[in-house]
Order: sequence, then C-alpha cells, then structure tokens
Amino acid sequence: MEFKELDPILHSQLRLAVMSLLISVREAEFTFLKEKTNSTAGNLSVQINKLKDAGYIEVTKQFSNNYPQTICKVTKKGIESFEAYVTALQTYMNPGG
Amino acid sequence: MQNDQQLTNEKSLEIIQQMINQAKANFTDSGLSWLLWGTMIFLASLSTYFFIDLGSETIFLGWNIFGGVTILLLLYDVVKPKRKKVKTYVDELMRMVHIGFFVCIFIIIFSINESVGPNNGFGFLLMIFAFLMLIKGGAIKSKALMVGAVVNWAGAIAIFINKEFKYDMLIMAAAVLVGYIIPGLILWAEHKGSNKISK
Repeated sequence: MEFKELDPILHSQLRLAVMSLLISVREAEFTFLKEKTNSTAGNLSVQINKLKDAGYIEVTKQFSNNYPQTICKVTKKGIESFEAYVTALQTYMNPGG
Repeated sequence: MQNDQQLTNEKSLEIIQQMINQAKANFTDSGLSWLLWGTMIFLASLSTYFFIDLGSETIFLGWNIFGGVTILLLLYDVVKPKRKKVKTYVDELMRMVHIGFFVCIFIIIFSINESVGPNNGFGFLLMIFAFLMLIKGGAIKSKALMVGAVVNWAGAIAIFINKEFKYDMLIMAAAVLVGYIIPGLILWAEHKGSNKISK
C-alpha cells in the first residue's frame, strides 16, 4: 500500500476549512468565511492569499451598494487538489483498503 | 480557528465534514414569500367567489389588484439592494426556476384572457404552482410543500372537471391554503425557531 503525500497547502486547519466551505458553494464573501471558520480577519486574509497564490481559489474585490466586498470562488485546480487531498487522506485512514 | 495547530488525519476529516455541514445549513427558506403570495391568491380567489355569489359585475377586482401588486413586487425585487454573503449552486438553480415560473404564469394569464378562458385557465395556474412547490420542497426538504404540490395538482384536475367557475375559485383558495399558506407558516415557525437557537 502506497501512502500518497498530503498537499501542504491544504494540510492546514484554516486553509482546509476555507476550501471545504468553498467546495460546497458557488462563491462566498470574506465575511461568510470568517463567520463560519471563526477565525480572525488578519489570519484568514493571509491564508486566502496563500490559496490564491497556489491557484486554488479566485478572489474578486468589488463594491456592492457602496460596501467593499471580497468574493472567493474555488477554481478547477482547487477542486482537483481537494479531491486528491481527500483521496490521499483515505489511504492513511484505511491503509488496507 | 487557528492555523498553527498540528493537523491529524482525523482532524482533517472532521474539519471537512464540519464545514460542508455549515455550508449546507444555508439552504433555508423563511416562508415569508409563501405566506405573502398565498394570502394574496387566497383573498383574490375568495373575493371572486363572493362577487359572483352576490351578482357583482366586477368579479375579477381581486385578481386585478393581485396583478398590480405582483408587478410592483417583481419590480421591487429587480431594483432592491442585494447583499448575500454566499451564493450556493441551489440559489443559482432556484433563480432560474423562479424566472421560468413567472414567465409561465404570465403566459397562462395571457391565455386566460385570450383563448383558454377562466374556467380552465386557473387549473393551469395550480399546475404550475405545484411544480414550484415540488422543486422548492425537494431543495429545502419541506414535506409540507411537497404535500402542497400534490394537493395543487389534485386541485387542477378538480378545476378541469368542475364546470361552474365560482366553485373553481373555492378549489383555488383551498389549494393555495394547503400549498402556500400552511407550508409558509410551518417554514416561518421553523425559521424563527432556528434563529432563536443560533442567538
């Protein structure tokens, strides 16, 4: 049984939480991610930038009714990496399977 | 949530599951729109029944008021400021379903005035109401809406069988009561209950 290496970008508590949320929805605002992950704005912002730099998410900044909005959306590469991460995780959880 | 904590495989799976459940919790309905539309259609149907019974000449007054209010509400929906923190795939799908629903409603209303006539036309309205109830009921897992869909389809058949228009209006009112107003009240109560828990 070969153990697959876990993607270091995803193998982090907050980044994994953000990716898991974005996988389930079409797009989400920064405030939604902050609320659901119960994280600080500064930490979340840093982790979102890391996911963006890896090409896992798209970040769009815009104004809506005079309010600044940061919208995050998972990319195709992000979906593939997330699926690969879950598959790799399963090899660790069920080594005989 | 911190990021420097050592992440075990079990913890990774737990986070994935927890976050997916958090996102799922957004597929909700406050029930207000069901109550609003249901009450308007209910009152329009009953008013027509009573106007016919009283021998009035303005039997469609309730429906004309309903039509005017509907146009105003749809215009408000287009221009009102929208600020949603999250857009789900279900939201996107439901937006398209609602557009299709209103287009069908306007075509049916046009057909009632042009050729189909009110005797059968209102049966087609119930048919399309039931379609929306089934889709929405399935999306938010509301048994009340799904039961409402069955009742509205039964109401549509009853309207096609019944030949006296004034009783069509009673069937319409009863179908809307079961399909819109009761599910709306249940969803509203559930929504209020879940808001209390999350506070």
